[in-house]
Amino acid sequence: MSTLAPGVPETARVSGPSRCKPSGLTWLVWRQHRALFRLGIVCSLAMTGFLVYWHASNQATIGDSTFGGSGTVGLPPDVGLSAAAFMVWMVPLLVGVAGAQLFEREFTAGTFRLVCAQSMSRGAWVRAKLLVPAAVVILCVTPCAAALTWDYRLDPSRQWYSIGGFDTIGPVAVAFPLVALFLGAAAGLTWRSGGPAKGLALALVLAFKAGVFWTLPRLLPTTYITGDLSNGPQTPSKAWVVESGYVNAAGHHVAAPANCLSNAFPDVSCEAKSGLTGQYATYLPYSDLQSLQWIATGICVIACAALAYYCLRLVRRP
Amino acid sequence: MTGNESGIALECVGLGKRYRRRRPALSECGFRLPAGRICALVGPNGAGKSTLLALASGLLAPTEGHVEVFGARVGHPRTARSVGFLDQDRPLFPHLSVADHLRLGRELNPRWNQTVAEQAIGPIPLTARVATLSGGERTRLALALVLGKQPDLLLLDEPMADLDPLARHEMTSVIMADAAERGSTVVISSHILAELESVCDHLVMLDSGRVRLAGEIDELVALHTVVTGACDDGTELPQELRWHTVIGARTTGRATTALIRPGALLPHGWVAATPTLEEVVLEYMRNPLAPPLLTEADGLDVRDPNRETAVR
Repeated sequence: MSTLAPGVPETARVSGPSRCKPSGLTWLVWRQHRALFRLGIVCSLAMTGFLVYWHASNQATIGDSTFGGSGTVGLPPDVGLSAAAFMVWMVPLLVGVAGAQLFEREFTAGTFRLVCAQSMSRGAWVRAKLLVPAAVVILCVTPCAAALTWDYRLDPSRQWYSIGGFDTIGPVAVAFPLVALFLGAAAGLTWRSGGPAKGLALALVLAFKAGVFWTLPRLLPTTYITGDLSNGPQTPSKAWVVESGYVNAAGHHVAAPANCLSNAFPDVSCEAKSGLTGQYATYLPYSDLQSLQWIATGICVIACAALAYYCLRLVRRP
Repeated sequence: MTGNESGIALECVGLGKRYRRRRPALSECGFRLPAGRICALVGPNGAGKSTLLALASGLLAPTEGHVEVFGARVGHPRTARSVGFLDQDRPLFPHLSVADHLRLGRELNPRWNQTVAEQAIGPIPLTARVATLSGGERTRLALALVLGKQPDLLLLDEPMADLDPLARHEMTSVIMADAAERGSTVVISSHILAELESVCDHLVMLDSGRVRLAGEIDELVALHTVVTGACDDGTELPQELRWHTVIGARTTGRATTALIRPGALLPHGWVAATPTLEEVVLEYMRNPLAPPLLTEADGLDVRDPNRETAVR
């Protein structure tokens, strides 16, 4: 009987898959979540088709208009576009929940042990489990976000800085679902139990979004303007008003007296009696939209990298 | 090539594993298994067999000591290809088909052998979903994934537990034929010694997380003797046996039968016989205080704490 470890046997190798088909761990992750991926792609195609149709039908009505321009024709609020924007806004929440199941099910069903018993490293498995769904998310969300961004140009009444506005257009609309996926995966790995992991994922996604919205206006220099008590500061159209309030005679920022605020209509005399001399506002102009979009995307990319590292650390440790 | 010059397939050094807030599942576990052997890993329920195999496969990390597979620490990338592990729970993807699992094996293992895997699958239809398979069929599929991987060290946790007698015979033949053809090392855990005795040439016995017996089966059996003699008083061990390591003794009427590790000449008037492997293992299970016996991998160095104490 041999006392040395045998070498690599000349086994019958099965011919490898062709280049265009997924192979290795990519195939496994695709095969495991195939139904969900296909559903996402179908939904994405349907929504993109609807948004393109909406754009074509409304552009014919109002002609080409410029998003944010002061002299554009106002379009009545469209239920279809609002619904589409709401669905894109919901995508990170849905992706977060799906992300929580990504690893959580592997541990509860024990299939993690099956994969780890193969010849691949745990790191390679985690990379595939994160990157394949991430690619599908990008594939599904990018056309929707592009179409929604395109459609927003037709509707000058929409505010770009609102939740449901800023995060449903441009690169941020793709970046948020990606972070949600990684947050969900991290939640699933941390709390390896179905319900709690999904709840944690939802809470993390909402907290992350709120955090980004709180942080963003503080990352760019704002413009400060003042105005009188009756008219207030005149901010440009589509400006994101970060802060507003009253100014007293000493030039200090003060809150409006409670008795003045209790009135149904602004009472200038009440404010004047309280020593207030005017109003102020700090704002970000519409021209900062692109910068803010890319800053938010950068934050999301950094968050994704940190979360991927966290997931790798958790799984690599036996 | 995963070989190492020492010819040791599996080596545990001071290995221990403690789960949270529980007594250690394994403690100070040390033995060496030469390459090319078929090793039976036996012990009562909760002895630590599954924990030991999970540690050797790299699924668990030890809390003390370490495991080496063909000279490389478990966790080294080289060991992933050389170890095949059959989990006791047979984890499989319930919504995937048998064919999908075979493809999984092919995609994730560079040395995959489809022929061996299909041989292990037997009559199970390839299109069947795992959720519809019986326990025995799931075991066959899980075993097919291990055998198709073509590992140099197979760690099989209760491989025959769900199989009917015919399937057991068939799967044992497949495992042994593969091991003989490739010279691979096999560790089979079970608490049914009878089904391992005929195919294994090495034994590791665990009890309460510690190694009680380890070595070549022939050598382990040869180091023990069953002696039978007259006994005046049934309550105490006969004085004639005090120079020997007594593993266990039973008195029936005026006769005492004992399993001993002879330390000197056998007492006059006592009848000696060679025990079976089952007798040896059962006696060690019955007597947790019996001193452990671990023969080294080359079969020359025998460590017997009692004997060492007697020599001193």
